[in-house]
Amino acid sequence: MIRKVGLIIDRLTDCWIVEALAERDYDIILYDPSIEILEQEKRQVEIDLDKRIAKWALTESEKKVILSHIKLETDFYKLQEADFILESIKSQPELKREILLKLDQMIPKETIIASNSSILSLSNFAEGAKHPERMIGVHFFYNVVEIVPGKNTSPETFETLSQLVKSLDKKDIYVQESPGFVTTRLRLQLMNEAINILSEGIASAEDIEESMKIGLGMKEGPLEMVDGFGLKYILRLMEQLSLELGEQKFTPSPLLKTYIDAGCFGKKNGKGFFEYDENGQRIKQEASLEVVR
Amino acid sequence: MKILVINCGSSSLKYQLFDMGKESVLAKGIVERIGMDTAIFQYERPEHETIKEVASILEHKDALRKVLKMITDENRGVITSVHEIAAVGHRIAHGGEEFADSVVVTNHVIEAIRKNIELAPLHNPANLKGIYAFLELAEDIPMVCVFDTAFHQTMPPEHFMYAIPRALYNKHKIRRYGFHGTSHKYVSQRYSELTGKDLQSTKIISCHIGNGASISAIEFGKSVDTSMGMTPLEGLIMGTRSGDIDPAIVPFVMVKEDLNVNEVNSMLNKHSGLVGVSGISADMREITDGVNAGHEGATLAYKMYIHRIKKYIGSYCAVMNGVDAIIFTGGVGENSHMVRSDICEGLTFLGLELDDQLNDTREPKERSIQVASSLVDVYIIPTNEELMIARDTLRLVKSNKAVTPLI
Repeated sequence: MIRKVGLIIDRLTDCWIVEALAERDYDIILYDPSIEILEQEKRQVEIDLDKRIAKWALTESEKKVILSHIKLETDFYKLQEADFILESIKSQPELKREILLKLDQMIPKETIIASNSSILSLSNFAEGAKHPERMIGVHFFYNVVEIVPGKNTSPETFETLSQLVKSLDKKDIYVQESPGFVTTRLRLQLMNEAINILSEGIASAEDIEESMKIGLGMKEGPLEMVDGFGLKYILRLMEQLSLELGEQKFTPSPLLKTYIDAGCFGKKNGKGFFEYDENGQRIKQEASLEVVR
Repeated sequence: MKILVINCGSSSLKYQLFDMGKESVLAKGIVERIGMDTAIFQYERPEHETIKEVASILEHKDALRKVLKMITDENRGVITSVHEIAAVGHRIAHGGEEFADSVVVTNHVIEAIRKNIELAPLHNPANLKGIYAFLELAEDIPMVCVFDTAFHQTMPPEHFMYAIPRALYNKHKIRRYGFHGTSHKYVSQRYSELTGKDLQSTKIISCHIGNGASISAIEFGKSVDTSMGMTPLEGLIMGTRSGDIDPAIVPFVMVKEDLNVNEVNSMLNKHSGLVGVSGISADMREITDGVNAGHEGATLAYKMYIHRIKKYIGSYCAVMNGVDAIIFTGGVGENSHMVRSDICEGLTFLGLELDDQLNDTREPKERSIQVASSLVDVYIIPTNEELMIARDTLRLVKSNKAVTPLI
């Protein structure tokens, strides 16, 4: 039975995973060699929880309970205490590989090690692992979690992860190892095409946004989605996917690079295809277009 | 005969061991934070110091094992063997339409409780954990389920149906069920015992006002209407729950504030009621302190709270064509003389007259608080749901047959 989850993340935008697990009473060992980064991550969880309190989704006392489940840890070896490890290093593939193999060496062989990635499969990283049967690929995509078993993942490992996902009230979907899985391929195509349409001058950013948002009943349109993930991150994903799949349809729109060169990084610096206040709320329509044009 | 009463929450287990000869409590306590390394185990015996331990208790079965070990402990226990326990009574939140009375646990009963998880997703699974734990640890001891909803199953369809497409009732059993049934039943029976008045000829309005709150119209011993509905959200204003609101507010707020279903549910259940209006507290003691200190939010919340209770009392008088007794129970009903007084102040048209001195006397015991000439009795009766569960358990075990489910 999983009670204690060891977590390694390297993007503040993944802090919601920490929150989702802690909210379901899992005890979290959040690891990073730097206490400053760990504190930053915990602060991000607090900010997210405060936003939910402002929307009446949580109470102050529930926030306290959630935070009490999160333990910050700079000692890598303390991850041995976890019943389940989720590694989610997204920016440095070499580090990801190194950490996965180090975990495999150090963690008791019954403990499952799940590797979170939006594009790359576990087999890219886990080659040479001593216990590949307890390793599994996964992609946390909000309310959907893609479960991507590697070549040697055991059925028990798959089943345990599937149960964990269900306990978080998320939908688990089973996906074969393939770059970008299901969700990344679909959303990157949508985002890229939205940027292409904008660059061709066919419609305004606002109208492109509304067409999908209202037309398909989405919470965010494709351009706000890019702003949310961060323009640089989306560019990197597209380049990676286009390289992995060798298909032109994922070649990033040149306009995406133009925006990045103009200093538009997305919600994190308040400027992307739209402008945002410090809470990530849009403040005016198509503001940054004139910067580019 | 010894009866053990169990009330399982998602991470807690409350227990009370009764000696039914004198209906006395031999031991009671609570296990909290089940599932954590720092679970809290508490054990109380009359005239002994309370024992409190912090231990790793990872599931309900472990908690129950610890309870059984403690009550049979050579030095600190109150019985010598688990087999002295004649039966176990479990509190179950939702019996749906299947159960109009308590029932001996069988496979069919467990299946029916599972079926009703949809109607009580937080409570029924937790309640079932207690039953499963006992089946594993002492399967030869008979068990009885006592449902929070059962007492209200006597409501006629015109009182329990909602005026929405009937297909929703047929498909999902959407209707009024009502809660706090064990409490409403206990206090109405207790009123009859205290006054010698026959329930069969008495009209009672019972007000269970605690952090959760509901009112029941009990006509001739049967619940004919109650303020909580399909869920415990409907009816009175509560500590953190809104009670009745215009249902159109829900989609309106969802659009205006960009809320999803979970957020709007949480808004109505955890951020509304006294705390939502007053902005200071969900606790009636702090609200009345606020009223006395002239706090605007507390005063508004308090007035709304009283107004809502009066509305229900008035409407239940109309439903029953009169009332013989109003009973106050639950944390607020038993302890707040100010709340009782303000509710009754506007009910003099019924011929009801409160005795201010009796009402103001602070003692936690059952008593009448109306003047002798009052046409309506007003009683404070501290609720005792655990005893009621123990009594039902004893009754069913003695008759030694399962009550046949309605369907």
